[in-house]
Amino acid sequence: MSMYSSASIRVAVLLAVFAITGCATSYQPSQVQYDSVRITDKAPRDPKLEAILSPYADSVNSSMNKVIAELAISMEKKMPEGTLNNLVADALLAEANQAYGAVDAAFVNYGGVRISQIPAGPITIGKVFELMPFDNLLIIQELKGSVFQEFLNRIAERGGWPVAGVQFVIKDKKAIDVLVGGKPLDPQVTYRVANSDYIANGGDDCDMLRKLPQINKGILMRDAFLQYFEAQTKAGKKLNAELENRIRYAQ
Amino acid sequence: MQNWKTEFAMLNRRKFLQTAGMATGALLTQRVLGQEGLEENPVQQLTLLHTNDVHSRLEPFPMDGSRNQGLGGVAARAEAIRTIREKADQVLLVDAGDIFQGTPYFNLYKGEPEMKAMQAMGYEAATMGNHDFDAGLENFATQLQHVQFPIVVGNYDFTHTPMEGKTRPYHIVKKGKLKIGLTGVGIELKGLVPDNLAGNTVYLDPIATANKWAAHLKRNEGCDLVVCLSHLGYKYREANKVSDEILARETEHIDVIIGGHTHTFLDAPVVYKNKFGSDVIVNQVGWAGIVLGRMDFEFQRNKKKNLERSHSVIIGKKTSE
Repeated sequence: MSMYSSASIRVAVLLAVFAITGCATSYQPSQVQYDSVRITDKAPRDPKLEAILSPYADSVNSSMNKVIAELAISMEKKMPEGTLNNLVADALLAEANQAYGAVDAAFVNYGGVRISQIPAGPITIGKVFELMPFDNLLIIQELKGSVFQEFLNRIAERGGWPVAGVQFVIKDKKAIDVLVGGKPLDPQVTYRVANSDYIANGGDDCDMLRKLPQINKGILMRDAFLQYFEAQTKAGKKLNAELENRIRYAQ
Repeated sequence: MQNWKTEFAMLNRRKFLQTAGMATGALLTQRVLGQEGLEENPVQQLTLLHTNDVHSRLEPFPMDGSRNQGLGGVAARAEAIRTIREKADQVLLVDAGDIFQGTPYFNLYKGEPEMKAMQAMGYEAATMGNHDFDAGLENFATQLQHVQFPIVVGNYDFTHTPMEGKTRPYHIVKKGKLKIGLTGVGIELKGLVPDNLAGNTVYLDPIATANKWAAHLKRNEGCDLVVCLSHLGYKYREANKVSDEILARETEHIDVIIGGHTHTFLDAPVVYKNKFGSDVIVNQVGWAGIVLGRMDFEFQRNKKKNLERSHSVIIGKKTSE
C-alpha cells in the first residue's frame, strides 16, 4: 500500500523532470544580425539542382513557351481598377456570353489573379497559367438584385476587383451608384452573373452566393482566358484595356 | 578588448567560486564543475535561413521585362545556401508554407519537383499554407514521399483526412549545444480553401495552439529557442483578424516567428514584446523565393534561466562578410 496518492507522485515526477530539463536550458539568444539574400539572375547556380529540375523543365518549356497573344500595352493589377483587371474581366464576360448566353456581368476575384504586372509584348501559354494557376471553373449564377448588391458590397469592402458589365463607386465599404449594363441596379430584377466556382462556393467570404444554384459547363477559367486571347490574335488584334472608372473610390 | 575583459571577469568569478566551494562543500563544487563547461562554450551561433510563399517558382522569373525578371529560382537559392553553410556550421533552413501553386510546374507535376528541390537544398522543417491544399490533401500526402523533413503545424486537426499522422505539432532540432524547438500554425480555412479541398480538416485556434506547444518546448523540452513557422499573415487592416503581429503579442514562449501568406517583404525583422515583455522577432521575405531570409543568432550561456523574466535581444543589420 502506497502512502502517496498517485496524483502527488505525478506532481513529484513532474517536478523532477522540471528540475532536470530546466537546468538543461542553458542558452539564450542575445544578438541577431539579419540579412536579406536577394536571389538575382547574376547569382551562381547549383548544378545539382539544375539536374533535378531539367527533366521537368524540358516538358514544361515545350508545352508552355508557345506565344498565344500580344499585349498592346504594359498592364497592371490594381485596386480599385487596373488595366489588367479590365482585360481579364472582359475576357471572362465575352467567354461566358459565348458559352452560356445573356450574361449581365463577370467577376474575377482579386486574389485569383496571380500576376500583378505584365509588360507589353508577346505572352505565352505559361504566362496565362501563372495569371490563373487555379483549376477554377467559369460558372453562372442567377442573382436577385438585392443579393447582387450584397455581393458588390463585399467587393467594395475588399477594395475593388476586376469587373465587367457593372460600374460603381466605393463609399464606406459599400457599393453605391451601381450601374448594370448602364442602368441602375434594380433590387427586384434577376441578373445573370459569371464568376469562378471558388467565389460562388463562398470563397473570399462571399457567403451570399454559397447557396445559389450554379450553371456549370465545366469550363476552366484559365481555358476561357486562353480561348479569348487566341481568338483576339486570330482576329488580328492585340490585347488591350483602358481605365474606365468601372470602380472608383468616393471623393 | 571585449573578449579579454569577459575572460578576465570569468577568471575572477571562477576563483571566487573555487574559494567558496572549498569552504562550503560538495554542492558548490558541483556548481564549479558546471561553470567549467561555461568557459569551453560561452557563445553559440545559429544561422536561421528561411523562405515563404515560394509558390512553385522553381525557375527564375522569365526575362520578359516584367518587374521580377531574373529573380528567384531554386538553383541560385541552393547555391546561396551552400555558400552560407560553408562558412557557418550551425545552419537551420525552414519554410513557412505555400510551397505549391503559381507556375505550370505545379499544374503538370502537382508539387513533385518543388518537394525534391527542397529536400536537395536541405530544408529541415516547413509548415502548410492554404495553397498546399490546392491539389487535394491526398496529393500533398503523396508528395511528402520526396522529403525527409517534417511538416510542422499544430492547429490543423487532420484526423480522418489523407494527412492524418503526416504532420507534427512540434519538432526539435539540435545544432551544436543548442536545442531549437519548432512549432507551426496555419491560416483559417473557411472562406479561403474550398470545402472539397479542406475535407475533414479541423481548424484550431492558432494562438492557443502555438502557446501550448511553445510552452512545452521551453519548459518540458528545455529548448534554447522556439521558432514558430506561421502562415497566418503578417498583419491585417481588420483589427481582429489573427496575424503574426497579434500572435507575437499574445505569446509567452515563442522567440521567433517566420511568417508567410501576405507576401510581405520586410526590410528588417520586426520586434514585438510578448506577454512577459520579452522580445519576439517576426520576419517574412515576400514570395517566390526572390529573397532568402537570414538571421544570425548569438546565444549566451545563462546559468539560471527564469522563463518568466523578460529579456531582450540586440538586433542589427549584418555587415558584409
